[in-house]
Amino acid sequence: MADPTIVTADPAARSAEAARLLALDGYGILDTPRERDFDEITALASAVCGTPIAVVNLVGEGRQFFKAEVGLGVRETPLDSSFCARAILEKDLLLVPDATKDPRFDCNPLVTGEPHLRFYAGALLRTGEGHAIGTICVLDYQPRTLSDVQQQTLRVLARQVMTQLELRRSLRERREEAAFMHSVLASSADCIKVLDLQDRLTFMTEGGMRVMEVGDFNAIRGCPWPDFWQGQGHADAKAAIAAAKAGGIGRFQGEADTMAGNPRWWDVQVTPILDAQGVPERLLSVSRDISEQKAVEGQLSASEARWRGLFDGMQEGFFLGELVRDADGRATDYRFLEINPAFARQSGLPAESIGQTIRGVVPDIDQSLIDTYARVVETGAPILFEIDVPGLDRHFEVRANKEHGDRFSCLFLDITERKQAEERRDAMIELGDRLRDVTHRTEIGPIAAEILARTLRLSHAGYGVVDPVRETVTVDHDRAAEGFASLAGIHAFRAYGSFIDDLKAGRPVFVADTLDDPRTAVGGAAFAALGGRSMANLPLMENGRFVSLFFALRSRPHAWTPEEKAFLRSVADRTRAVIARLEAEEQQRVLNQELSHRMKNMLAMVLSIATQTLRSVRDQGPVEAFEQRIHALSAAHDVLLRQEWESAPLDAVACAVLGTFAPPARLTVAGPPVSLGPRATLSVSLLLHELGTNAAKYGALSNGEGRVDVTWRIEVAGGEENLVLDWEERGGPTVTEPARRGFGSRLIRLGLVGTGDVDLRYPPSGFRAEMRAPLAQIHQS
Amino acid sequence: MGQSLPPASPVILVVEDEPLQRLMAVDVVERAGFEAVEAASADEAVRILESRPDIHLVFTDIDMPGGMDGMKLAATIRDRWPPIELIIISGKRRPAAEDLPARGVFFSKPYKRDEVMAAMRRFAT
Repeated sequence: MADPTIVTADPAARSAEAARLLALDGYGILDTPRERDFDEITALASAVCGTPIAVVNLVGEGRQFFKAEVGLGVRETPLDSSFCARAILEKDLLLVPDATKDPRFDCNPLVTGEPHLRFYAGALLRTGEGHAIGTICVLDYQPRTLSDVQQQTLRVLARQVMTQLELRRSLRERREEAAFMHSVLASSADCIKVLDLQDRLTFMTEGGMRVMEVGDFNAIRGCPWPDFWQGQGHADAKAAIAAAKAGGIGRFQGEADTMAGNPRWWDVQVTPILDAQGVPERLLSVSRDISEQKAVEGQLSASEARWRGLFDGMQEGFFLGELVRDADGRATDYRFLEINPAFARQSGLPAESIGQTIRGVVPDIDQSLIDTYARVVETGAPILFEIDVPGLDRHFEVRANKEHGDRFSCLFLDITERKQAEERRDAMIELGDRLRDVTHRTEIGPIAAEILARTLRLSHAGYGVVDPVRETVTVDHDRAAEGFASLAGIHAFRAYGSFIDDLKAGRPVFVADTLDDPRTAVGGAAFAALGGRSMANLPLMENGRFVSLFFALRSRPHAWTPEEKAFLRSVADRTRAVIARLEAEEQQRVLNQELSHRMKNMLAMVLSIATQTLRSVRDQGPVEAFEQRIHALSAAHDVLLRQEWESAPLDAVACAVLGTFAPPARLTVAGPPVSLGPRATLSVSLLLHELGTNAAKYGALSNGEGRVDVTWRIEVAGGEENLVLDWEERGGPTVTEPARRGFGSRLIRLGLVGTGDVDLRYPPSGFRAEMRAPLAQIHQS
Repeated sequence: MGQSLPPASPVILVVEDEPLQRLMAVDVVERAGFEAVEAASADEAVRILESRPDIHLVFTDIDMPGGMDGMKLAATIRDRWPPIELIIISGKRRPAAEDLPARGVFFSKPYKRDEVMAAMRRFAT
């Protein structure tokens, strides 16, 4: 007998067997309890075929399971003794009239031994896909056969078994699917509801009841769904239902409380449930809880609003720009992607500049600015620079940073105040420097006006002399900015307003807008005509009288800052101080001249008295010497007077004293410039006079051809500068040292400043004297 | 008339408000060999000039009180008596050349007597 197992080594057969077993498994019938439907079929098979045994047999892996049986008494047997394992290899129906005479079964233990089966007939249980999963078979202990009707009945019963199996499988699958759908709906976090066409709630998922916090759906069943919404939500819900009823999808977002009273945000979608004809028969409403998302959105929007508020409210200008490049990749322009109101204010550009390029709004923008931003973008390194906006009178410090790609951001810090403070400080220094060297009053006004106009960006600045009685100011010089006419001329204060009353009282006047100030109510238009919409007038007082005026005008209304007022006052004060200095110097000059005049008159008187007194003296020599010494002093006074009694140049003193003794051809006066203080001027004059007198009497100037060389030099000895003056006579008669020392020789030995240090020599060639004195003493007054 | 008058000695008018200095000026004039006529003010000098046609030189100080100072006197003389020579002295600064009348000579106070005498003699020849 051949191996009854259907297990084979053939791979194709093995694969077919695996598919068959899978098909069998799909019915879930193995090892199930007995069932009446199958029992009745086996009973019917047994009765129709007249056999003691009938079985519904399912051939599994290595075993066969009897779903129903008659006359067998077991539910499962191994395959090795199975007829059915053979039967399922047959196409339709296997008929074995006498197994003992059939080579396929004559060795089967059930045939050869107990229960000594002799007859077998089995019809295949075949699935729709053609898999044979088992048989319905009849068996007998006697050899026999089946009529055609019996065989047909067996086939019909086989199909009936399959129908039962299919039915059971379908029911099971339906149950599983329903359970799955139920679990899906139940586990959804969305609130899924079904409404009838009267908008009433008819169903809600478990998950829906959870999120909606519904304890008992019956409490709300049948309630109109839109009534769960208030206000706009109610209208939105109605509209969504209408859309769904029209066959479309209704959507909205709204806020509604859960049944427990907790506020939530919902994203709602309403769709129609269509009947077989495609007509909406019910509505499906799915509400998703988006409260968290809304909260995050709210926070984001609050954060955005906060930053936007900061961005919009900050004093610093800011813009985000993006370079615009030409075909060669060179940056030729940039576009404003974002600007804040401060930037719009500072730049004077409209807020609508976003999206525009800088060349679109400022066609003649300097390319170097674009190059600067391009450098920031290309190097990634931030750049800090300063920029002047003349039209706004503002100065900014700019910080440019690369963002990403060709984008960059710029922050503008207004440093105008600091810049202007620096300018004012520099202006005061410049004013001090330039006024220091001024010698005439008329030079002061133009200098101060120029510096004022430049520093405060004035349309006019100037200085005028005031006639307080006629109430006029005469402007000689003023500084008018380009495009403004000079104000030189006589102006009547009252034509411009009433503010002269303040000026007369010594009070400065600052007007922010001449067209809107009570003090210039009558003259505002006159001011504006001159180009003065704001003005500052500072009175300069002398002995309580308003004598001159400093004025500053700007062509635009301008509230003078405390710093600017202080600056104007400082300039006026400085100017006043310089005027006072010049006046003092002028008075000093007049006083010096008067003193000198009196001194010379006094010397003239002394000479008159002396000559009158001594006219009877026989020896007139000493009288003349006296007279000449007085003249030498007088000459020194003359030189000093020319230098305002401060110092006299040594060469001028020497020429003045010696000019009377020798014609220029016989006299050399040479040396570096040395100025003598007043005392040294007098002592050096007397000294040179004595030396000249001696030369004229006894020395080189006593004949017709001798000459005198007066030279001097500066020598440094012991860290101190000394003036060394040489007196050298040549071509005169042979000289000898005088035996007697009169007043003249004693005067000579006092030296340049009365401290001695005189070396006198009498070589045959001519008298020589070398005299020294510290330069510091020479300079002393 | 066989009588011959001695040649008239040139007459010099000294104008100086300060008596002591006028004294010395007169002495200088006389030492130089001329006759001196004195005036203590410019107005007095004009009156003298109007009555004394023999004056050929006026020796005047600039700085004098009253309406007319020496410079104005000099200008007046140059205008009314053009031939009269002028020597002008002052303790103040030397006037600019264009302010001096034509042919006028200036000396600063205190002047040197010999220089002034030399100028007087020069004008007399």
